[in-house]
Amino acid sequence: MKSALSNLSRHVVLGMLAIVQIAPIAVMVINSLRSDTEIKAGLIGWPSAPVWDNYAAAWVKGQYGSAFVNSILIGILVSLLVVACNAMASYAMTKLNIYGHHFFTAYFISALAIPSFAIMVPLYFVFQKLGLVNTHAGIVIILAALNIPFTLLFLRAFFLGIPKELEEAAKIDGCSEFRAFTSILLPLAKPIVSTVILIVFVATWNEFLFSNTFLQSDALRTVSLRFYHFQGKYSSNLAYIFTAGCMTLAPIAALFLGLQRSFIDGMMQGGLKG
Amino acid sequence: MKKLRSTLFVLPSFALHFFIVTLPACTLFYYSFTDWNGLGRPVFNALDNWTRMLKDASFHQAIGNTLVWMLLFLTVPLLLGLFVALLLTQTKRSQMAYRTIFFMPYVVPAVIAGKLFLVFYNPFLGIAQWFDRIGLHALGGISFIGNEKLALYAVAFVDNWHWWGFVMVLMLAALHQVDATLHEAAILDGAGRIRRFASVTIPQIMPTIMTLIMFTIIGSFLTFDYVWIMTQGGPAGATEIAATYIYKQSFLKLETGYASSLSLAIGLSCVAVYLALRVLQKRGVEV
Repeated sequence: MKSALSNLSRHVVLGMLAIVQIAPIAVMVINSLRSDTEIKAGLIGWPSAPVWDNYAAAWVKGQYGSAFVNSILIGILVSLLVVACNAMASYAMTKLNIYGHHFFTAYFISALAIPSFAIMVPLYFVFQKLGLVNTHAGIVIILAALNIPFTLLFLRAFFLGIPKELEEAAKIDGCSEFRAFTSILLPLAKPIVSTVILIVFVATWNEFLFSNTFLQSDALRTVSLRFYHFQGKYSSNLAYIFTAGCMTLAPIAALFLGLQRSFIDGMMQGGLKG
Repeated sequence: MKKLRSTLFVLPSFALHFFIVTLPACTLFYYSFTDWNGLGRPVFNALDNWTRMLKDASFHQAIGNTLVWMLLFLTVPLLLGLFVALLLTQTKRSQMAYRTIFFMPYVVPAVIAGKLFLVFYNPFLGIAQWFDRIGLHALGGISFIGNEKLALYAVAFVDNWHWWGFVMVLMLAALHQVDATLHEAAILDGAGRIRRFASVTIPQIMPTIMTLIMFTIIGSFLTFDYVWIMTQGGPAGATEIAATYIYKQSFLKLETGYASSLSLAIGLSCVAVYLALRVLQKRGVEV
């Protein structure tokens, strides 16, 4: 009886928090199918007749087609760059005999303390000279660099947890170091690597400050930036804004829901220990 | 030779970060002593920027708001995240569903969350109207964003909505790694639930908590998106925080030299706090 009661109160607390977390998103999705006048009469309610036209109109007015291409391109390039560099680096730092082992560890740990904000001004100046402002290459390099320390330490924590015996066994069997890396460690690291890819991809998709500063022409902007400028322009039409919000969120939400099991497993394995 | 080849594995990550982040950060030491508009040639002006910083009341207000923000984020998401993670460890069947729902806002872009809550905070449309309808007329016309006393908390609520699920998952990960034999030993010693929480669970998850504290402190100085999207620092500077103030100085007022010294001051404080926390951690405060 007592445990049934505590069970119930636990689900009440969790359920209320779940509503707070999910209701704003639900309101946005439902309102994306209502007309502007309907929404202004009451923020919460079912569409009397679903207005699918909202999607077509917002897609065209917001030039979302090219924005999606930009976001996907930038997101893939950044996350691949980060994972490729960091998988090698974290493997070398934990399993191989390298020069400056302590230096590199200390460097990446203290790198976490540099506020990314502080580098924007000098970086903008240098990138302008190099012609990298308002280019995809420029923003990919910046976002990859900013994501390196955190994800490197995340992968390092995972590799540290793998017993040395595994690779030693592989080496006795005649594997080279590189073979041991690709055929023993990488397969083990699959969930954590996909977690890192997802974290970086989501962060890139949602990134605002650097993207908004370094990508200035509409043709180059990402989906989130399109949304920001779109809502500034059509701020009076709430239906368009909810619809555009849904379109911006949909791909990233689908990706998360699709990968969430391996994603949360990855978080559990990597963990964060400085 | 082999050692050299192995070291090359670290170089791509190192070089990318060093040239894009560390090197530009170092140039702040130079720019912070100059009068510079970000385009022309920086002119050396000795300590002018630094004395100006000491007298700049708007900057002091921004720092005050940043500290309030930091305190909010050092308490609310960490306590809520830990509390919910503890509840979830006792939930077997529906744990996955709750985890997914609580984490969901983390993937919502700041531009969308900001705009969405601006609509909810709108006095003529959103929450204020619902208050009115259920008879709380005093709260009927309230503008959460327009009110100087409420605006900072209203914006912080949105950022927290987005953030605490992430904290919760990290806490849950830490709780899963707690050595079960320690709990069993404590039970044999006759320790109650609260005692076990304080002397077994907390010390075991302390590394995660310390890391989150560090992220929060540094993150507070980096917070930009939600404030910029929702209020741009207004009304009357009530939500101005370090990052938005520096951004305005450098990109709107073209006081890039001054902005560099503000960035450097903030950056050095972050490094100092960070090193202090790491020393504490090394000394074994977690035990």
